[in-house]
Amino acid sequence: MRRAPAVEKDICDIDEDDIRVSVVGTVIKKDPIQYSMIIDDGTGSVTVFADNLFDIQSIIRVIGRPQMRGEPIIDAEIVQDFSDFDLELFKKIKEMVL
Amino acid sequence: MKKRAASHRLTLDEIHKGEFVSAEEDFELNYLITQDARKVYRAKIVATVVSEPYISDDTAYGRVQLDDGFDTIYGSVFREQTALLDDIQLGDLVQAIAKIREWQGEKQLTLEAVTKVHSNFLLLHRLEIIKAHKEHQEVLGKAQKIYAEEKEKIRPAKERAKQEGVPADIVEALDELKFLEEKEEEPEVSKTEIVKNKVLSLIGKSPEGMEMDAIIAAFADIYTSEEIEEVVRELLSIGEIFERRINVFVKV
Repeated sequence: MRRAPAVEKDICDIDEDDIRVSVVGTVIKKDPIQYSMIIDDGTGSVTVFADNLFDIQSIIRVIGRPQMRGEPIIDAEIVQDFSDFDLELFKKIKEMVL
Repeated sequence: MKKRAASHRLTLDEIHKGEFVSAEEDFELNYLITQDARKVYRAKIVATVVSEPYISDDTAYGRVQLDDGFDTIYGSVFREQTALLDDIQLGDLVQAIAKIREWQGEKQLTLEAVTKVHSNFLLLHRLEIIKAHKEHQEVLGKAQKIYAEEKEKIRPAKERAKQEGVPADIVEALDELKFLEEKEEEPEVSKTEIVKNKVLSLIGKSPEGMEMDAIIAAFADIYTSEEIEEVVRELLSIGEIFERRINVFVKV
């Protein structure tokens, strides 16, 4: 059976039916004790649990399984460094139909 | 010299939704017909590596799972090409050029080039796809019109397409899609019968006989070794082939 893709989502649209998601955002807080970061994509923020933490202000992409613990959290499978990524263009492209 | 088929930028769901066509001749390339009638011999994708790359102990085979946000797919590498996975890690964003194949009903890629890329390649890839779709839609409309006006007859439709500057490939793809649709509606010829015919025709090409390993290798992209072995046993039992030496088969 084929693995479910990590569907690109705005943070505000993540819901409990999502199997795997991918979100791109800016790190606004990191907690080295909990091994977590909060990232913000302009539509909302989400707590990400990951082995590798990035510095505040970094742009990252997180791929993982979302969970609802009151508010959404993501258990990261993969965290990618998206420094220099053109977020504005990305948002415009997302609005176009592929 | 035959021109190498160029790669087309695709999303992985376009690959999975397309129709895989296995080449009839040995040296022809297999290809995919997308839902919008493009013939794709090689795909170019940008995706994230979502499984730890695997290389077998004898380095004869390797594979990796890729995810582009639209779907996931396995990319395989064989023999000296396994080195392509040496510099690739779980989590890398990569651009890959690959041939498309089908294995037990599931589309897969045979990787020919894999490179780790900057995140902005994702944007370039998507924009190129949008551009290609737009350009293709224009000619697709013309090709559909020609094909319909020529009453779905491929030869005159291709001739007219050439005259009107429409790639004949698209008309051909429309015709093949129609054929595949009709085929799906027809009662299905058993898969074993198809494999049997292919194996028999391959063995028939070697008057000196063919070894089992060579037969399995010839169909490695489409059938499992168990399927081939079963068919060879069946051909032996019905007397279509005989075993000249141990493991060497000749057509009667």
